This record gives sequence, C-alpha cells and structure tokens, in this order.
Amino acid sequence: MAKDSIIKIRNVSFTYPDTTSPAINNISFDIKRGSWTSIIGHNGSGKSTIIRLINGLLVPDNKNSPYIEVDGTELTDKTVWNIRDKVGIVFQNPDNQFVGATVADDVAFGLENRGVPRSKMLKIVPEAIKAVGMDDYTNAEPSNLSGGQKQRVAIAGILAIQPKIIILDEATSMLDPSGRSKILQIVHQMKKKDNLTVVSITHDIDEANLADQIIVMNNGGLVDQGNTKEIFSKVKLLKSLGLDVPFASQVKEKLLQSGISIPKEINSEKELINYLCQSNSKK
Amino acid sequence: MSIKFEKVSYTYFPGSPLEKKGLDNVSFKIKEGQFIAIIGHTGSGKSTLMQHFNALLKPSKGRIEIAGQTILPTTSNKNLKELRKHVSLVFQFPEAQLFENTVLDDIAFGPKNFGYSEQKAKEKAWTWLTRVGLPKSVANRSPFDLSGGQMRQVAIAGVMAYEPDILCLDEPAAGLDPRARKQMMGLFSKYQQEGHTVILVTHNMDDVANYANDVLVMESGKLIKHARPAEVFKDRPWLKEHYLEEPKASLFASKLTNFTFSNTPLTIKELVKGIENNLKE
Repeated sequence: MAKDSIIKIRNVSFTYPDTTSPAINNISFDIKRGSWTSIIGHNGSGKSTIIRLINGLLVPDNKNSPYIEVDGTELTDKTVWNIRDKVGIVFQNPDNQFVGATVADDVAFGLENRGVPRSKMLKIVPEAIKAVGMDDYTNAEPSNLSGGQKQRVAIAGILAIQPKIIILDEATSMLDPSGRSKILQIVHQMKKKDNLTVVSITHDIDEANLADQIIVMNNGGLVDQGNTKEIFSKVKLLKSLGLDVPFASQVKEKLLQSGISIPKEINSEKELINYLCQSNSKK
Repeated sequence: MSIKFEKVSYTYFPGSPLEKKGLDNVSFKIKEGQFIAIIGHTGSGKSTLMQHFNALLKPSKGRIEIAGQTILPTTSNKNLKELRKHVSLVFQFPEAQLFENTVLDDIAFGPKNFGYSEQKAKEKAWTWLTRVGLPKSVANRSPFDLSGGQMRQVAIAGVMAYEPDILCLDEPAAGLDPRARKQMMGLFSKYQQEGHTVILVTHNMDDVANYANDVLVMESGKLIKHARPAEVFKDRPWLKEHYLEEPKASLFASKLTNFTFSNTPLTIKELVKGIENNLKE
C-alpha cells in the first residue's frame, strides 16, 4: 500500500490564525498513484484546507510531528517548489486564475514560468486547447468567454504542464452538464494516458461516483474512507453530515417509507431499476 | 403586470471584428410574481438575457417592458436607478463583491444606496441576516473571515435587504454544499411566494422541476422554448436534440421500461407516487 502512494498525509493538523479550533484535526490518509479520489464534506469541513496543505500553500501546525509526502518527496521549505510542479490545481472560479491576453497565451503561461522552450510550447499549447474543445477560441480574449468556456481554458493550462497530480477544487461546479461531463471525460483520458492521479473536491454526487476512493470529511476530521459502493450505501451518515445521497438511494428510502419492500442488498441505480421492473412484471 | 420582450436583439462589439450576437430577436411575455427559470448551455445567451432585465445591457434592437418601465436602445443611463431598485441582478459568485468592514454594514449598503435611512437600513440588514440563515454572531465580523458559503449568504442578504420586486439570480447555489443549496433555494421560493418575481438562470434541471413555474430555454442567443416545466421536460427527443438534461426523476422513470406514468414525473415525490401506482394496480 505505502509503496504506490503518491500522496501520504500523517498526523496533520492546521489551525487558521486568530481561530481557536483547528480547521484540520490530526488527519492521516494515503492516495494511490493513478487513482481517482473524491473528497466530500460540507462547506467549511476542511476539504480545501487539505489541498492547500498538500501543495505547501499552508504549513501544518507544529504538533504530533506532521508529515506530508508527494511523489516520494517529503514536503519541506526546500522541496515545496518542486512539489508544486507536480500538482496542478483547478479552482472553482476561473476568473481568479487568468493572466494571458489570449486563450493561447494563458495556456502557455505555466510553461513559460517553467522555462519550457518555445518550440515545445508551440506543440503542447494547441494540443491542450484541443483537448478541452476550445480550439475555435485559441486567439480569443479570455474575458470574452462564458464561465464554462473559461474553466475549460483553465483546465487546458493545467493539462499543458503535465503534472503528476491534478486537483479539481470544485472545478466543474460552474459548468453546464454537457460541459461538465466533457471535462470529466478529458480528465479521465489524461489520467489513463499519463497515469495521472486525480483528486476531486466536489458536491456533485455524479462526479464523486467516478472515484476509486472517497474520503468523507466533517469538522476538520476524516469521518470515513472507502469505495463508492461502501460510502454511498451509508445514507444515514451522509444525511447527518448534510451531504447529498445518490438519487437511487433516495428513491429506495422513499419507497420503503411508503410500504414497498426492497431487499437490503439492492443499492445501485441499476439494481433498483432491475428489481422494480421485475416486481412490476410479476404482479 | 408582466415583463415583456419585443424582438430584442443584442450585439456585442458591433462593427468590430469581434462582433457577436448575444441575443437574436427574442420575444416573450411573462407574468410577474412567478418563479421563472432560464436554461440553456454555456454561451447560449442566458446571462446576456439576464443583464437586460435591469438595463445593465440595453437592447441593440427591440423593446423591453419591465417593472412599469420601458427600455429601448436609446434609453439613457440617467434614470435607471429607480429601475434597479425594483429589479436586482445577482451574478455568479456575488461574494466577490463584498467590501465593507463588517457583515452588517455590507448587507446594509444596498438599502442605504437606495435611500433607506441609516437606522432603517440596519434594521433591514438584521432581518435579512437571519433570513438567509446566518448566525447573529457574525454580524460584526469581517465578511472576509467567513467561509465561502457564508460569504455567499452575506452577498445575497445584501441584495434581498432592499426587497426588489424582481430578483434575478445567476446560478446562486453553485458550489454550495447540498444542505446550504437546499436552504438557499427554499429562501428564493419563499420570497416568490411572498409576492415577488424570481428569475433563476441555472443548469440544474432538478431546481427547475422543483421550483419554477415558467421556463425560458435559450440557444445561440435565440429563445427556443417558453413553457411550463412539465411541457419542457415531456419531450425527451427534443431535449436530446438540444443537448439539455432532464430532471433526475424523469430520467429514472424513463429507465423503468415496463411502467406507465400518466405524467412524466419531475420530482422524486411524483416518481415515488408513480412507482407506487404501478406496483399496487
């Protein structure tokens, strides 16, 4: 397990200045190389703080000897820049992450920053723009794009630097449904092609459903961890934390309440639909 | 009263190489006091349309009647304050517009700007601080010390505090957690039931199904449908053709191939009822 972990977090706590209770309270977990992990939890549960600790934007509290490792390197003052090269973060609001005068300039920014030769950039930039379906807008001004289009460009900028880990911090929450599934599809392809590790912070239950592993957070603590089937069958836990429950689980619960019996082992949407169709043909 | 658009077109950067049609000959009439949803993809003209409701953008062609005023291409910017008191726009990420030192001052800014006395504005601010679901204890804190979701609540309270007749919201619940989202949608729904008009720009078809009673569907700057939610979501091939999603409930129902539903269920309640009817027949 430990050997193929690209991210290792041990005994990490973090308290924001001028607050008394920690935003992150003694958390430990691993993320496997090449996996897709979703972190879910209500606003203020500490999801985004965790991300900022992983790329060294925030420094853990000095207690319980905290340890953070990314791609085999311990996160320290000396390695932080090296680690940030490996971690691309796409934030929720694309307006806060634009610098270039055109879409192409913006996508090239991260490469310029890293001293990539122009000849290489000329190849990488159009590819990244094409990957997010924005090739018709290569020379457009980012400010003239709609919110969803901007987010695609921001994602192209991240894809261009070819990080080891891509973190989606509610990155698809502003996209329309087709735009969202397109982005997730693109990230999926990149993940497969380059053995990219994906960490997504999301409230979107469908996005979380794509994950190999789900981490549930509440009040700065890690409440539960497991695959989608394990986590999404815990309807009571999710509800008590104010989190979304998959639609099929909600339907099942409501049907049970109105006196229709459904076996316990029926959980996924497919299982429920099959079961209902069978019951309907038997009656 | 009603909101009327007559052959409204809007062109971005007219006469320049960047010229682009934002709205293309849009006409409709909607009754005030309703919960109206505007749907369509990214870039379809939803936000451009919304910005016409309080003349933030003025039509390049055509005519708009709203809140007892008429907006024409020639309307001067001078007398728009009255219109903007009655018709408010809340953009995506309104929390980016917070600026005051305390939460209470930020909420009171809108009412003060529209002529309420200092004291009256503070009273309104207290009322709306609690109505949007913020704890009273945050009133004297800096809005910038709050969580993203709470900052959103402050920004929305700041607009609702001067109680506009027509409240237009662009994806107000995006990025909120499910509990906060439900609470916020409930707030807008209640506001509408109290006699105001709520116009919601959204991608979330479940919100459309649960709250709206009138829907405008935009595509490439054109209004391609204006109907009640049941009507919009009834026609599955049409939705597919226009790449529009449907509510989770109707999607689920469509997979129950040997069930018959007299009306396409749009909400989980209707779906469960429909399943029950089939199984108990």
